[in-house]
Amino acid sequence: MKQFEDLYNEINNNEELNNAWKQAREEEQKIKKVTLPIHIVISLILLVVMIKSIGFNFMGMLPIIIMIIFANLIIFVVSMFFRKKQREYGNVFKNIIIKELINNFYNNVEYFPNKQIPSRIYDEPKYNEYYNRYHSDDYIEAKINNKYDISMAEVKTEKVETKRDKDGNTHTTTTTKFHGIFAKIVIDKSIKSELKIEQNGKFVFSKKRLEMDSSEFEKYFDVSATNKIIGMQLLTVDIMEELIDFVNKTNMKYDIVINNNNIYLRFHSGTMFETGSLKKGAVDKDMMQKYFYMLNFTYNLADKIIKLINETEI
Amino acid sequence: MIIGIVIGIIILIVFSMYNTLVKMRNKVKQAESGIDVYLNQRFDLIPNLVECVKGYSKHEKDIFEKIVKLRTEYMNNKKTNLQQAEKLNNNMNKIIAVAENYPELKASEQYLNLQKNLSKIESQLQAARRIYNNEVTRYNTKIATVPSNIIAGVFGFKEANLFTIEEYKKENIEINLGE
Repeated sequence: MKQFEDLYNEINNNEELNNAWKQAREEEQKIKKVTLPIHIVISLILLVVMIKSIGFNFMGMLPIIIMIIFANLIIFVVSMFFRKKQREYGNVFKNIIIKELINNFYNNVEYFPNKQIPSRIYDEPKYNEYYNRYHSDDYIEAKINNKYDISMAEVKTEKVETKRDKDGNTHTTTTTKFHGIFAKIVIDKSIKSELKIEQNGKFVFSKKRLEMDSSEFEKYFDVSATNKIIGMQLLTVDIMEELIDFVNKTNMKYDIVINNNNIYLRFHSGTMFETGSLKKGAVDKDMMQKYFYMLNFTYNLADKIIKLINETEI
Repeated sequence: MIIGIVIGIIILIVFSMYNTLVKMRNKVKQAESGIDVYLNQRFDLIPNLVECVKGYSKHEKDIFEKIVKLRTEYMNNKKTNLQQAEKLNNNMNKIIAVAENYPELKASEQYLNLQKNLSKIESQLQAARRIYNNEVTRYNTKIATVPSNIIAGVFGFKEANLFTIEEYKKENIEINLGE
């Protein structure tokens, strides 16, 4: 298993990725050269026309500003159709970074950019959330230590509500419930119970709540267990430290559910495996480090839990 | 009238604090019974362990006799005695340490099975111990802090003891073979 710096240097020096990035940057500069004067000219025309017709007063400026923003937004959206090289760079980046990073931790990696993890799998851990719109892509299948199946994908769940007001107009509100990486690991032994570890969990007064003997851990997590002894057996000092360490390193919200022989992980990371700013080079180091920590954490946690279950005959 | 309301409020607060302390004490007792279950399971393995090790080691007769005696005493005592349990556990660990010195014994199927059971129960016992100590710490803190310490003092709530049973670790145990 390679360390982060080695892996970063390897990916950062990848010829295919660098070529794609260079082309995307050149394209971006060309687009800027064309669109920037258009932005300025349209803004000026709008400003002059509106001032001439309305006059110069503060309230009159507001629609002008809105119109300028709107016009610039249209130019930006139109320019997106011409960013072919940037899309290509995005695809190359995803392929290389996902394969290189995930191959570093897992075996038999298969990546399907347009495949989704089924919503019925996402529903298995019975998260305490209601959603009616499900989207998923970037599906990855692999094995941990050549034995245990792991599947993960980017998932976005939303609650879409449509309300009708007194005048008969309909208003639709969309609330994102979860957006990030969802992973499922299948282990060979069942713990015959369920353990939930959440940040800001909603089971403070639940009978299943398990109070931990680490004030540091309690500061970050809430634990619920259908079998408290098994919960304590799994949450050893070592594992609790691993969980705290990940929060401190990444500041990323996440939750874990272990249900019988399945481990489910959710990282509230937003969109993952996307290219960063083109200015930051072919690979955004900070972003890659975040991905690395996440995959390293998933691997370590699964490995430790599997060993613990086997050693202690849970 | 006002005095009556104030007295009523004070009585309600006292009742509430008393009930909280009772609930916490019950939780400690519940956690203690959890420990007792796993201790009994662990000590139930003593006869098998002694039988198993006896065949290989003739020098530790004293330990074998002592542990059998301690177990009988522990089992005859209906109430959980954590100090007695700790003593018995330490002696049990000594026997495991003896067994560690005989490679043939360690490789035997009987011992391997025994060890499998032991590590399972040990892990459960440590989990129960952590739950118990957690409850004890919360309870002891409650009865030591103001204003619950007043209620605890009046109604005779006493501090509970933490349970510090040693997990088996070879380096913690000294055994002199052939003494």
